[in-house]
Order: sequence, then C-alpha cells, then structure tokens
Amino acid sequence: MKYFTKIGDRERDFTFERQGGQLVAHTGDKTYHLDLSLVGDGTAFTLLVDGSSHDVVVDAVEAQTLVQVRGELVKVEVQDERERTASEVAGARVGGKRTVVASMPGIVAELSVQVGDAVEDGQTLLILEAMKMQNPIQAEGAGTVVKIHTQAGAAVANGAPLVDLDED
Amino acid sequence: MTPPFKRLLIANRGEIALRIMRTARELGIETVAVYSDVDRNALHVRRADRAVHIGGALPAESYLRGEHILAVAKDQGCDALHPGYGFLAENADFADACAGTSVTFLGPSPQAIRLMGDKVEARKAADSAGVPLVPGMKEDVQDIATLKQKAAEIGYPVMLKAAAGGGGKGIRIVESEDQLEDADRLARAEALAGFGDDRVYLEKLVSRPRHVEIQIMADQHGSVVHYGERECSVQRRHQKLLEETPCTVLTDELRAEMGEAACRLALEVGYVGAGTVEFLYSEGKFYFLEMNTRLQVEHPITEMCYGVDLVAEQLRIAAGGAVEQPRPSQGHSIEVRINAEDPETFLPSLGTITRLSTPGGPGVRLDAVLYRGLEVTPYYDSMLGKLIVHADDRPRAIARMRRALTEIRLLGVLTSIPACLRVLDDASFQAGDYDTGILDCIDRSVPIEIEELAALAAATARYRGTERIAAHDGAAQPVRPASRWVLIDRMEKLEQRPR
Repeated sequence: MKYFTKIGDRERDFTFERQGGQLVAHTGDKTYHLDLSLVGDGTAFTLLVDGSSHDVVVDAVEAQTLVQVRGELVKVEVQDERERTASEVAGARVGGKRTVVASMPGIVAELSVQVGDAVEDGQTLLILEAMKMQNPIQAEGAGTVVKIHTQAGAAVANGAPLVDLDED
Repeated sequence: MTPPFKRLLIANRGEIALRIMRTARELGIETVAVYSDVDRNALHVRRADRAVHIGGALPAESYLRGEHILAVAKDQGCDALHPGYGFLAENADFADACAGTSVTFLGPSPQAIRLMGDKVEARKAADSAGVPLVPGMKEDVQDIATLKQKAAEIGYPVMLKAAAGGGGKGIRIVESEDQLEDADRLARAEALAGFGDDRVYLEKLVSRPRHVEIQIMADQHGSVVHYGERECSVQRRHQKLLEETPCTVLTDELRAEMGEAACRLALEVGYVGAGTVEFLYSEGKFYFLEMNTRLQVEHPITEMCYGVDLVAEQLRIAAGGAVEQPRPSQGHSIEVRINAEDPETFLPSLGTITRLSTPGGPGVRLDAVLYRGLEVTPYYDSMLGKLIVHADDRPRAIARMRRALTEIRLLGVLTSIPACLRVLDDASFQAGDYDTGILDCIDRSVPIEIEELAALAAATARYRGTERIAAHDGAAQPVRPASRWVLIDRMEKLEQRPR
C-alpha cells in the first residue's frame, strides 16, 4: 500500500515495510530506517529517522494532518491508495460559480457590494474586522454578485460563505 | 520591606495582567483581577487573590468600562490600579477619574497622557524639547483635496496615522495618490473603532528606518533616568514581532544622545512613571515617533539586561520613591511575540489549545497566558504570550531563542513561532543589518528539509495506525482519520506491557 502526502502543491509518496523488527520507509530514491514510539495520548510521538531524534506532534482532523516538528507547524494531506482513488472519482470541480468565504472569523464592518453588481478582480467586496484590524475581502477574479450570505454588523465564523460570484 | 501598596487592581487581561500580578505577589501586594464573560477561566483570574466579573466579551462592555472598573477598585478596597497596556492604559479621562480618589493610578498624570496621546500635540512638545521630528503634518486634515496636496508636498510614500493611535493600530501606508482616499477612509474607520477618535495625520515614510525606542523612568521629584534602547524593527502590519536590546547599530554616543532626548521630553511634559519614547533611526539620525505613556509589551528585554523589575519600579515610584541610576546593561536579550496567527499570512487564527508544552532551561523567560484548553477568541489582541531570552552576547542570544522556540509544542491555533524562526535564521538579521522592512524580505514558507520530515512523519504515523489496526483485526480496514487516533490510543493502552 502506498501513502501519498501533499504539502502545498508538492506531493510525495511513501511505501513502508518491516525488515526484521525495523520499520523502513521508501520515498523516491531515499530509504529511511525508522523507529516510532507513541507518547501519552497517542498524538505525540518520538521518531528516530536513521538514528536522528525528532519530537513530533500529529493532529489529524479529517484528511488534514497538522504536524508539529522542530518549532514548525506543517499542514499535510495524507491519503492511502484507496482514499486517493475514491477522491479522484469524486474530484470533478464545478466551474462558473465561486463562493467567497471568510478567511478568518470576524465581524462584517462594511458591505461594499450588492446583488447584481459586476465586480473586478481584486475589488473589495466587504471589510471583515477581526482582532481590531480592518481586513478587506477581495474578489479573486471578475464576476457578478449573485448572492450575499451575510450583512453589515454580522459575526461570521472562519470558512463561512460571504458572497457568491458568477465568474465571467 | 513594607509593600508600597496594600491591594492592587489590575485593569487588564492576558499576559500583562499576569506579569503585573507576579511582581505584586512578590512584593506582598494583594491583587484583584477583573474579567469579562469569556475570561472566567483565564490565567489572570486564576492567579489573582481576588477576581471580579465586569461584563461582556466585547472590550467596550468590560475592559474599557473605566467608571465601572474604578468603582470595583474602590469597592474592593484597592489603593492602587495598574492599567497594563492597551484598554485604559492611555485613557486620560480614566486617569483623571482616578486622580480624585483613594486609588492611585499607576501611570503619568492625565495631562501627560492627554498630551502624548494626541500625536499632533506630542510632536509639538517634542519639537520644543529639541527632539528631532520626521517631516509631516502637525494637524488632522479632513478635506481630501487638501490632504492630496499636502501628501504631494511631503512626497510619497506617506503614512496616515491615527492621532489618538498607538501600538501600530490605525496606520496606513499610501504609495501613491490614487490610494489616498481609500486609505484615509480605512484609517479613519480603524481609528474610530480602536480609539473612538477618527482624526488622522500625514507623515513621510523614512527610507530603511529602524524602530528604536528608549525606556525612561521618571519620579515625582523631577528626576528622570533611561534604561537604554530596544530595537523593534521586526514588524508586520506595523506591529512588532521580535525585539532585542542592545540595538546593533547604536554607538555609545548615539545611545546617550537618544537617551538624553527622551529624558528631556519627559521633563518637558512633567512626566512621572514608566514611559517609552519611540524613535525612527535611519543612517545615523533619529526622529521622534511617539511616546507611549505606559509599560510596553517588550519591557522584559530591558529588565533582562539591566537587572531591573520595571513593574516594581512603577509601584515604588507611584508611592513616592525616587528613581535609581540604572546598573550598566549586561549581555543581550531578545523577545518574540507568540501570536495566534498564520505565520505566512499573519491573519488571526482562532481555536482551542489542545496540546501545550513550554520551553525552559538557562536564560529563558516565558510571559504567557497559555494553558491547555484555552479558547482563543476574536475579541482581543492575538498575542498569547512572549518568549524572552538573555545571553552573554547576540549570537548566543539568537541560538538560545532558536533552541527555546523549538522546544514549544502548541496545537489548536497557528502561531507566529515559525515566522520568528525565519527571522532568527535570516542572514541580514544575524548580521544585525536590517530595518522595518525585514519581514517583507524574508521567505516565510516552510524550509524544504522540514517539509520532508513532516511528510515522512505524517505518512509514518498513518502507516503505523494502519499496521496496528491490521494487527488487531487481522486485516487493514479503512478508518476515518479523526477516529484513527482514538483507536490507536486505546490499543496502545491495551498493550501496555514491557517491550
């Protein structure tokens, strides 16, 4: 079974085997001899990679895995072969309509467009206030406003739909 | 030693409330915390001697309710009140209200706060104290045509700054005339939301500036001393991310000159207490930026090098004590701010802290309100704490900070820690040759070797999970990732036998 990781748009694949008691990983032309030992509740572990020691924390939520190592926090998508095949079948993207979502939780300080407005690429759609900062939320491409999901003064959660654009 | 006060109300939250509380406790002063609806479990409440609920989550419903907080202080029998930074710290009306009561406000006079809080008036005061100024307007311009004309005279790029502002809030950089109108509108909106005052003024953007500030301490007997400088050029969105002292480019002569200028300004306005005079430094010259009439976020680096407790000094001076000549500065200190934010975009990151372990070892100080289960909400500043290190020299301090940062485990929100590591690893930072633009020049993406390690770790963790499930079920079954960990955990516990 292969395991696929994706960080940003960079993909890697891994295969694992046991050589005697030793766990061995292969990726590209590299081979790693590993020892993984779980700590506490099982989301933290200590990992030896060819003898070098790494304290690792893994937080898996759905397909997204957050890995914390050496002070860094990295978002990794992990799929095994089966999951990958399933996601490829389901992966056809619907074009034309785009929903602008809140990139952070906040309060809608100002709504700058109305339904029916034609907007340009980069045009400010609304201003989201979070932690005392006014953050303009802009259109990523030209289009027409077909629906507005919120109103001025409303509190919105991270990822909440804000505005639907019909893209040109 | 008799404590300078009996009972202190801390009119703040977060790490600064905790910071003040620590000194008060050491001095034998009782502490009273105040808290909003969402801060009931906050560390500043749990560590205080007494705690009083003061209202809703929004600052205007709680931490900004000056009259109510003062009433609480009186009711609780407090003889002093520390405002921390932000909230009521630079609110002259609040200081005024305290002035006629039995509650001593730990800060300068209302007049000094009012003067320095008004950036236009502050510039005038600096000017008459003989402190150099950045070219710009000294008054608020409402009319957009006049604003455009003045900006053209000063020369782009210019900055729009909230007259009542501070802490980097309400500042907009304007590169060209076509951006001026929008920037003016946003700056005024931020100024109004943040400070209840929409006046803004124009200032020239100085090229390759460094932000260098002087810590002063003034007593009620007309004496002022300074504790050298703090270099605060590592900023994003005009908010500081990393500070250090001493500054790599200041000569002893220039340090003395800036220190004297800061003390002159303090004397000019009859200042009492701890204050910070911020300067822009560029090519051997310095210009007055503003004076913050409160304790600064980054005050600990001064404390580390000078061996002083600035909160203890504030308390001593407020009780009538005289300033003491500072000891010579020793070694090098760096502070980084641990903010709940995306390290690449700097956008706020909210959530609940699910895992935490904190750094330790020689020369490491953590001023933070972190605990497992802490909910990071959108109501307040994104800063969760500060990590401070001290070492014999700058290279050792950088190495120590790097070491301490990599010891932190924190899950649940994204933090500024990786961005801080990027700064520490940057060649121009290490050479000490940088300015306030440094964060724009640094690649903040994850280094490739870390990425490889993270991918390997994630894949290995997944494989290991499948392997264990297979060992139990006799065949590998696909399991939802969210429950996979719980399952592994249970199996690990079942298998607790010597290996």
